[in-house]
Amino acid sequence: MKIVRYFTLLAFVIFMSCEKHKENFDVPGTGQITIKLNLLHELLGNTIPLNYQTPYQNALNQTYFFDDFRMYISNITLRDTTGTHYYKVPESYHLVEMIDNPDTAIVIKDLPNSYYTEINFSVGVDNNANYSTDQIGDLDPANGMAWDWNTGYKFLYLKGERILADSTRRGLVYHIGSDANYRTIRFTNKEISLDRNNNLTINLDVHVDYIFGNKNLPEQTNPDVGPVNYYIDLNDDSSNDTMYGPNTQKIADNYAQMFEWKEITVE
Amino acid sequence: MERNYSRIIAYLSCMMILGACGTSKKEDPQASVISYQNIPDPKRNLMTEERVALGKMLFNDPILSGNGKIACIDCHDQKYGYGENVALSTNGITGEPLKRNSPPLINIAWANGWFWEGGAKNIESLIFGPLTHPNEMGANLKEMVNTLNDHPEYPRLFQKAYQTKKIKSAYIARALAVYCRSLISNQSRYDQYLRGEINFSYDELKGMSLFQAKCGSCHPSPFFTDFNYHNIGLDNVFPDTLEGLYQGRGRITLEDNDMGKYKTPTLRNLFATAPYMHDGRLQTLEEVFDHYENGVKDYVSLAPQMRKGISTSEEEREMILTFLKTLTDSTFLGLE
Repeated sequence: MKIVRYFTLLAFVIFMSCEKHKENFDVPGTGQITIKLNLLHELLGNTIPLNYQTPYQNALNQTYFFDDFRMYISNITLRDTTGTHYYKVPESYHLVEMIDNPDTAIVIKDLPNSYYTEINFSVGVDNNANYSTDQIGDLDPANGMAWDWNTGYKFLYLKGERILADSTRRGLVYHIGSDANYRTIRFTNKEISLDRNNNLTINLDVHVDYIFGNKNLPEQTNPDVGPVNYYIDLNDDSSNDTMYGPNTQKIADNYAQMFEWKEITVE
Repeated sequence: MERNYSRIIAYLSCMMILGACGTSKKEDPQASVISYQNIPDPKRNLMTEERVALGKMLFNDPILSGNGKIACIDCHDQKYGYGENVALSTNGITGEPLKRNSPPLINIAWANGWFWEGGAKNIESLIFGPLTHPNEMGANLKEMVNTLNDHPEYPRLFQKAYQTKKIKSAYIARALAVYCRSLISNQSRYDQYLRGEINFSYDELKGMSLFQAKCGSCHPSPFFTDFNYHNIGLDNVFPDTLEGLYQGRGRITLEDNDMGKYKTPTLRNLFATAPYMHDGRLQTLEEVFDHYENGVKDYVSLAPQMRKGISTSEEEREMILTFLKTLTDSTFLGLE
């Protein structure tokens, strides 16, 4: 009986503290968060900013370089400690393009001031938006990321060349999309205190090389064991690794692992 | 006496059935299916008069193309049912023959997927295909949008139709889609027959029942297409070159069981839309009959109706063709 009473009291205290927590941290007004994506790539053992026309090597020692890299980041969502209160950024579709500078930033304005502990977003375009391409903003097909003969968006667009063992050069082209390759990335247990500061910057490292497999880790193909890490064979010339062929889901599982939380700073 | 009665009853019921077929005084419920009011339009792009008019203007305007010389109408000509009279068009910006027969645009609002293999999920999204294809209209969307925004008339028309200050590629696609949906064919003799306005001849009736028995499973009334995808045995090798172009529906679903399937074309205005098939390989309807009779190639995805082919005698072909002529809509084709 006594135990039950204790539990009731405990539950009450927890309940109260939750309520109090929420009251304290929800302050009126809005703020802004900038998500800074630092596009990086491994080169001779160093992790340095991604560069076009630089010879890289994947885990299978195949040499390649990029001359175009683009992807969609979408549906940025913030959650507070309770996990039940969340704010989904409306019309959140962001084309990340590396033109000359590997620093790219997504600025989200008018966020309700609150204490958030989780941020999540997806690589790709959710099926609702992916099933029609007559859209404006970053989804405008004028941006060159829409498929016409099979309606949808390229979630990830890679173009470059690969160099074969006999030094001949071949195209390196990955256009990856479809529902099966939509991946959501979550960062939990973070202190995103938009209640105290209304202009924050979240720095994320994006390890572009992980798209073909993180060569610092062994290949791991069993999702039951832990995060997968597929070594992608660039010389697989079958149609399996275009659009939504069977291999593209391995690449999607890889790009789901390429984001790393660095720091959050107050502007 | 009893026997006589039964003979009379049999005779009378025969007359009644024949009479019902021949005169069709009552309106068939299918008669009203294809109408402007029934056009299925998505919420974000409802049919309005301003939009249809704007779409029509764009459809006829070469300003959209990369070199300012090619309009939609150049491959989608009204007199060919908004299709073309060649197998593979050379009317595009480069003059290179295209890989597919320009599809006629007849009642396409009711389809479930667009292009021959149904990869486009709506007409708005489809529009960007021919607009930007390097061998079709070769448009650079950014340049096209700038050109239209600088145009003396278009900004006002888009403002009226879409309440937008700035023209964007999405609104161009939407206006063209609305116009394509408005291209409905429902004025053929067959439609008049359905509405109970005219009678069919004996040959037309006979042709209709033969048609229903032999072709009706994939070409049902009132659209004369089931809007589905079938492999009718044109090929049995499906290379994966050109992003799976020769695989038909299989390139969309990645299923072996969908290889070589293409969308059933409507048979409305059939006599205006030769040549036939997704690549226009069959020049005449005689060749089409011959294919069904003895040209079918086997594959796992072959339509079950094609397993034994569809054989037709000369006389049956004549009758079926007599019926198919009733599907010609000269108002739609602009011949009246």
